[in-house]
Amino acid sequence: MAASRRDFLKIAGVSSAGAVAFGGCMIPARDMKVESPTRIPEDLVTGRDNWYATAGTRGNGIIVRVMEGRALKVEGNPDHPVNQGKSNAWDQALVQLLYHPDRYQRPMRLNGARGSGSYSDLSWNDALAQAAEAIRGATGGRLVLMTPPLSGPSLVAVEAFVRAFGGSHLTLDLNDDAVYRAAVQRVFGADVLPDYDLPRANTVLSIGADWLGAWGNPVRQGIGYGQFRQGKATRGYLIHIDSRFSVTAANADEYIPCRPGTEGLVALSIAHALIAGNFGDRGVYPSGGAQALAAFSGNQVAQQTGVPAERITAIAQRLGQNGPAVVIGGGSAGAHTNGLFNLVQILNLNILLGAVGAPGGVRLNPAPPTIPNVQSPFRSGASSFTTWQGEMIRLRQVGSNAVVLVYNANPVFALPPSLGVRDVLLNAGRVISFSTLPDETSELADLILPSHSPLEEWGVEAPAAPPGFQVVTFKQPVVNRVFDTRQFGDTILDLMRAIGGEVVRSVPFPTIRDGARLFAQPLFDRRAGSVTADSFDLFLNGVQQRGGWWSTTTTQAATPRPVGFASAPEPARIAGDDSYPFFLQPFMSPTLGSPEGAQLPWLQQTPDPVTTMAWGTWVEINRRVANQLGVKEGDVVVVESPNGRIEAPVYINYGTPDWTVAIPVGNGHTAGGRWQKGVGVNPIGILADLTDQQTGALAWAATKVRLTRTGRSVPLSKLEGYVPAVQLEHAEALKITNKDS
Amino acid sequence: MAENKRWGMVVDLDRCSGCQACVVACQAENNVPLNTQDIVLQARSIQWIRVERYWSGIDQNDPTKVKAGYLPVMCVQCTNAPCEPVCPVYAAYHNQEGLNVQVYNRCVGTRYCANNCPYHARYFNYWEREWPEPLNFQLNPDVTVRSKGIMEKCTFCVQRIRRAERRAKFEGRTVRDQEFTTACAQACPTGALVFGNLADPTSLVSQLAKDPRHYRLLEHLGTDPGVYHLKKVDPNYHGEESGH
Repeated sequence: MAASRRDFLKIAGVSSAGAVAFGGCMIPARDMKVESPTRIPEDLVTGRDNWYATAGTRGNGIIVRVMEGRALKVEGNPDHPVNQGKSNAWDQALVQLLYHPDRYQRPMRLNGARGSGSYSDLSWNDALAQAAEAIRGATGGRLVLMTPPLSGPSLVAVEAFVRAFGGSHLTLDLNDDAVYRAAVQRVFGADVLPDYDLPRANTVLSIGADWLGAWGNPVRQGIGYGQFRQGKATRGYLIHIDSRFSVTAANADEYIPCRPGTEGLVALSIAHALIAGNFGDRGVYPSGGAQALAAFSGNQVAQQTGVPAERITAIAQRLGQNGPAVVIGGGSAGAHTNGLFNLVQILNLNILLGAVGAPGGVRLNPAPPTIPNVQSPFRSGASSFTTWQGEMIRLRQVGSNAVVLVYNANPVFALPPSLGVRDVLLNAGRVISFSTLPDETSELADLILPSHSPLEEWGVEAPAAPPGFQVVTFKQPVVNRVFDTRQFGDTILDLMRAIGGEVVRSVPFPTIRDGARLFAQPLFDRRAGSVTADSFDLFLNGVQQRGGWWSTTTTQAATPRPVGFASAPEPARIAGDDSYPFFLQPFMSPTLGSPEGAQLPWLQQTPDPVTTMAWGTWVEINRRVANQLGVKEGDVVVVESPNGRIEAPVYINYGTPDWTVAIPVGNGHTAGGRWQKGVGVNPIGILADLTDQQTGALAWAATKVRLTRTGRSVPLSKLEGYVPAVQLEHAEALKITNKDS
Repeated sequence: MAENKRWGMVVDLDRCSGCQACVVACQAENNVPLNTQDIVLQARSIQWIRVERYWSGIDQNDPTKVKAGYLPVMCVQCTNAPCEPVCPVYAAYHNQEGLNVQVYNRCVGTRYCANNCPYHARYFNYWEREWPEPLNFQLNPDVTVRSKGIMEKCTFCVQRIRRAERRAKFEGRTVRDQEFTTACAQACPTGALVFGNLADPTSLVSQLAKDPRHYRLLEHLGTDPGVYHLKKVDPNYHGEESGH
């Protein structure tokens, strides 16, 4: 007879560890529902729980509620200075990643042809032995490891491993904003991304960066936005310039569409208007004053940018007169062949406005703490697209001698097919996956050594954009492992031991958990910051309980820098001639914008804020364009670029500019878990492989497309329609006032 | 805090960015069933809190005038709740703390309550919902999993209310303002959602409810909702000021 839920609780109750290992013994679903027929939910007596702090997404600190060894709920860590107790859909959905039924559950070996999906189980000992055998001779540049950007001890282990074989480590992150990082370096001279003091700003101008959507850290920016709007005496005013009607555009007081690739010109014309109006910090005016930028006056560039000159003047007046003002640039503005040019001009406006280091402006960040004997302890962004291109060319030459290792990176899906990643993997000698969930890349693996999900891992991270001072987040497992998986870094260390020789001695710790101790030591030695203790063990307990260590005194003073506006325009190259009339603007939504977004039902089913669409891919065009094409909502259209074609239904987004076709990224998988595979289409498949000239980042907003009707129509899975899209006059729900209260 | 309780919420539409953190947090806390694609297509998805998006300023010749406004809507816990008197089995009833409570074990699925709710805040389980193992490990043991044929809706996270009240009782005190909050409000990055006791004039939620921007959804129906919305501010709004 199966144990009832009550029996189970008795068993669990005698466990003193607090965390109970389930292994193969799962609670039958029916037993979850047993309850007294007379019990009223509000009278339910709740059990005891424990909360464990660890790292969430995008530099957030989270706490996880654990009962009887199960992780139930993620909340923001109220102590953590980045997200201050708040969280978003991605953080919340980490428990679904932990308990995803389609996770790789144990090591496996391929039986048939590569990609056949026929695997048989292996023990960890056999899997490690076979992987070590495959890797042992892969020296001289034959080995390549593909991962997301790593951090802390895992990064140290991986770098040592790759170095030992003379191989390469490629990193991939769909949300990586390499051009923005380069622009921050160029304009502010900072290696760490800055923090924007939104709560104290009175005017925010953002260009390209969907900072209320999926760009940067939307939780931290969301906290700032709430205070910017209603947290002080004067309500903040938001102007957003973008080639697409995004979440930030939807929330802006003024949304101004601009032609893709001209964002730098827009910034220069605003700079011209600021100087002409005698606004901002006159001490940094370029020699020659406004005349130096006369070629970029609103009138001169309006034709190219699509932004009327009078709006440029109005923006400059508001920025100049309604300070503190801050300017944010990133996202689509940097996703062009002139991406760095665009972002440098945009971020330079902050220097012109005197916003760097000022209240309500740009807060520069210090470098993360140094760790003795560790060269680059924390993440430093993803590999550039040109790096990937170069490596793929090289690997094609290496051919069947190549050994490709992949961990939670899915380049077959996330990079344009012209790169040929799939062919490289199909022709490689060995492909070994360490991924948590199946996907297009992992399905080509010969061996699978599955890794833990983030809630089962040890680790140390530093946020990409700290809150103005040093922050180190400590990761710890909040429950025992759910399946027979191992932490990726530990698997790499095990492989190094199995291979033997000098390799393993280059890593100063035997496990990632020990590595976390190593990272904690120099923080303990400081005897300062958010956690101090008499002994190291107490200190380690402290940082793990609080979710990390931070020191509000480790700030970075802003040093005066000259404003470096360009003297000549740098036009964007666009793929597609005049027969392709629309600019394709792929975008990340706040729901599907995490790497595993499409795998998790909560993120698939949650409506995109602007369109209310869920579960699928859609094509956003405005009403006028739809009328011209003769299509209505739900009509399937062919979206064709010089590089390929996809089909998806139309959604009428009233704010979309005439020249834009916007398509969300995340769906369109041909492999993966049950909630991912076969849903929607992938716009990355039709992107041209243009890159930013200076950083080598993919210019993902630089492809033009044309639309043609298919004559077919499908119902759209969306929230809109459950309630009317436009309010009824007699029953107005959303009310608006112009009172600045 | 006074012992008198009227749990309520303030939703500041000027802070809300529509990010959907509240929606997923609620799903996670309250064992809300998965809304698979076929369910969404049938408009039968269950979201105890949903973020409605309204277009305004639609001008075919000028997309720059278009605005999208966000309106989080959950059960507004009416004092004069239209859902309650129509339930033939008293599954929907009013408790002492101002909550419209749903007793799942009494519900026989007539759907009269949903039919009578002007806020579309009640959701019916048309199917036996499943959480493929081990996804069910995430289910919150404090919250009943509803089965097919049962009506469900926002409870203001009643399990959190009870937990806080019990803790306060053990410690010989009353529940403190902002000592706990609902899952949606706890997640909300912008601070648009604030939960608390409207019967306590010193509580944060009572203070915010006095904001000149306040209104309540479909107030003219006389339902006396326990949720106050604060109007979105549009400095460029030139229409008639709406409201009562």
